[in-house]
Amino acid sequence: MLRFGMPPDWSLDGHRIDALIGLANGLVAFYFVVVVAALATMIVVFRRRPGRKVAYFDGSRRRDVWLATALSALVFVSVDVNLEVHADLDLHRHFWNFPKPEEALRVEIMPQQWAWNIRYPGPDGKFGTADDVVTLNDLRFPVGKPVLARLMSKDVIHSFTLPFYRVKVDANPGSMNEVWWQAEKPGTSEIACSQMCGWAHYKMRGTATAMEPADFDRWYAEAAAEARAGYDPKDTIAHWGWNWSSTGGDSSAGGETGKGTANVAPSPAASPLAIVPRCALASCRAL
Amino acid sequence: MVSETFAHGAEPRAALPVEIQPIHPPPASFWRRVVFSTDHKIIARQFLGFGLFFLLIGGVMALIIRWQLGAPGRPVPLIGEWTFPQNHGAVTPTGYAALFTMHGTIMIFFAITPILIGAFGNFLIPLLIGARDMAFPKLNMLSFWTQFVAGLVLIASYFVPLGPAMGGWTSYPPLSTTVGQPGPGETLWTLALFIAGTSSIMGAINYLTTIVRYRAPGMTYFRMPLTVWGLGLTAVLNALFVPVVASALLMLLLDRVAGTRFFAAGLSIQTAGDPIVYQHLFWIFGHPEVYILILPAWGIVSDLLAFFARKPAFGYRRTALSMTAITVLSAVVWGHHMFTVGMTPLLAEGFMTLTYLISIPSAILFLNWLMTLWGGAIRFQTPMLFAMGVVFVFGMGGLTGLHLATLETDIFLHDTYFVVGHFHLTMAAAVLLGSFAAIYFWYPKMFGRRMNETLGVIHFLGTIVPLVLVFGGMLILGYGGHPRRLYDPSQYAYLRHLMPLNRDISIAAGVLGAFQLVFVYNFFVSLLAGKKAGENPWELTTLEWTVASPPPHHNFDRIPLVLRGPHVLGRPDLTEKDWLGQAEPEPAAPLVAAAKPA
Repeated sequence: MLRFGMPPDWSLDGHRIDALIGLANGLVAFYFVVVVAALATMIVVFRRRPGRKVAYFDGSRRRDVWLATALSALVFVSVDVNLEVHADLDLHRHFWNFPKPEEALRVEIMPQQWAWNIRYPGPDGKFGTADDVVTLNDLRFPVGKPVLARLMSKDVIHSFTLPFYRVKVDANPGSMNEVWWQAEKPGTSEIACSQMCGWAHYKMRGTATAMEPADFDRWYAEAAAEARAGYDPKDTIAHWGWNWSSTGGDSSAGGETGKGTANVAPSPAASPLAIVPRCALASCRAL
Repeated sequence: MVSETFAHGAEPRAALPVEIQPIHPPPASFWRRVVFSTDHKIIARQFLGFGLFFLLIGGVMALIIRWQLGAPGRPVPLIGEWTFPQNHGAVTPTGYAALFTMHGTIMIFFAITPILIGAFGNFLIPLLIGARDMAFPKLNMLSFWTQFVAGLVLIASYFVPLGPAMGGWTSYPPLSTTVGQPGPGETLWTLALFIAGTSSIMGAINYLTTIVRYRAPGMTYFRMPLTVWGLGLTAVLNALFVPVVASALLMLLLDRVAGTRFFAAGLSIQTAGDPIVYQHLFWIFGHPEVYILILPAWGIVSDLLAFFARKPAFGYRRTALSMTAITVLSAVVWGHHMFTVGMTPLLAEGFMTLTYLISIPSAILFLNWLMTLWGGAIRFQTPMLFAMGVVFVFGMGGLTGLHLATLETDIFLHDTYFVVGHFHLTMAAAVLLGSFAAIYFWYPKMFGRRMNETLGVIHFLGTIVPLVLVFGGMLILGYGGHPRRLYDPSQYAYLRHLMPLNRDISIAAGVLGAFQLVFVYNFFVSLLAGKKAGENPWELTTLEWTVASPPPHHNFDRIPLVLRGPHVLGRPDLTEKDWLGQAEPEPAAPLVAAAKPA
């Protein structure tokens, strides 16, 4: 028995993508049916028969020019303009309308061949400190609160994908991207990698768990306590947290100033870990 | 009147092609005649053989890929023990990565490019514009042998330590640098593509020069068959954009062998190269590449629909200009391949809008194709079936492009099987069907014999049905969120219910592969035992049908004087036959002088 269709949508805004895909499906199906019906009609009606005279015209009459103009205008307006308007409105109002960092759960995601390193700032709200919660392939977030993620790859290009939240963004080495989503219901789903990243690309699976806020807070506090207990200041490789401040500062560990982070600016003394982000989505909101 | 001027040599434009194309005797030695030939017709056959050979290899690779997706981890039948001995005949993860990388590379650069552009570009351009050969015959020969060397280098990459390239046909760095692939296989891949690109540039320069300078007198641009328009526009794109990807490949090569760091970045190696620059350079070429492959097919289809409906092409000029518009637009839409890379919203929206503009000329093309059939007396011979197949699958493929052009919906569909289904429908299915249409149509001219019509129809039905099932099925997979390039999709719980669909697609692919044997049989048996074709088996108008099949070494005993466009078919005043050749005098010249040429 074949089953297909889009995976379930557990996110705040994913239904907008689904609705637009539905609209695109409808438009595309309509024009495809028109083309196929026309083709089928021609095949049946205008097949070669004895004594059949062809209609000798080459489409250069004035009315043919009008037909071509009108038809292409109709297609462009009904399909392309239609889709573009929907997409632009959704993107500007929702997908590119990033939450304020202080209202969101911030998380850093650094994939490598072939796993997802995930870092939370911990109770002090700063990345690169002793209470950072660090997990491998285990992304957890509360229901009803936006999650603001920054991504940068450790080695090759990966593409962070949450199929159940309609999230997909590349994690590039050397430049940072930003993305956000919000869970609407609790449940465990998967993180997938969408960019070919080596022979074990197919194994680069993680879990994404949306939890009731109380459950999440309990887990977060426990994990932070464990992290603090297990912190080893000498293990510098483990301290890869990034600088979210707009004013620079502690570049190696990325001190958190808590000030406006709409623009992710470079640290003056940038280490390879605090590189100028590519104009990430949030940082270009001004556009 | 015009004819007289020409005969007296008084009109310089008319006299030029004759003066610069003296008839040379055919070479006597075996090597110059068959191997290192400068005759465009021989080079075309060489490209055709080369392309069909690689089409076979790339096709078998596709079937092994489908086997692994349909039955993950099960031994590949027949060739498994030989290809994957270390895994008891089952595909390995590295072997799988190598397969889809080489499948894409081979199909694009070593199968479709040599067949449509190398073989038919070479064979058709001089014959269809009334020239005795290409402008630069030696460059033409060099172009083939350069491509040949590229093919050898690519094959060699399979036999080096650590295996061939495994980074996908796009070969994004840093995965394609020594960080991701330390072995020599990827280096050879880069080199092979660079060499193949050199061959493409040589071909493009030759085609363009020939079209501009060697058209027979009277063969204005708007009297050229649309096939020549398609091939010419492809040559423009090749000449402009292959150098761009060559620059990217050269930098990648230097990164791999000379220790430069153009594209390597990241914590693991602590350098500040920019891998995204490669993506831009690659897709500045990569998007036009789609049209490089499809434009010749569009041109051929536009001609064939008119030829077999026995009436003029509808909107000939608008077809030519729409193809030109698409050629121009193809240069400014590459960003839609990179929507998830993290580009600025303004840039992304710009690329989305520019991509949408392609709908306008595309709508005109489809209107013209359908209206060409309107009022015709359609002969359903094999080339026509394949041409109509192109219209059908390109309709599917072109329309699904809208989902991917839209930034918002692309968030979900990017890098899924929806993309794979979409681009296979356009640049694989449509181009493949276009290639078959061309082979069935010009085979009589190329080899002097006709292919079997019944086997052709069986081949058509056995191709188009599974083709639509395979790539339509891929669209459904992608709709379910199935990412590309997964060795074993069942690793993901959310994809497990798609595995039966994956299996069914693989079965359809197997059927598709099996029916190609009909074509192989027909192709070779017809070479020896096909019906003699005669000059003009399809009763058509264009110049190649005025010479013997196969044409003599110098093509035309006299350079023809072209009097009209390519589609004078079914004109009401024609009584003896329903067509009038491009260089044929009017049957009763003074009386029908008022008749309007197409």
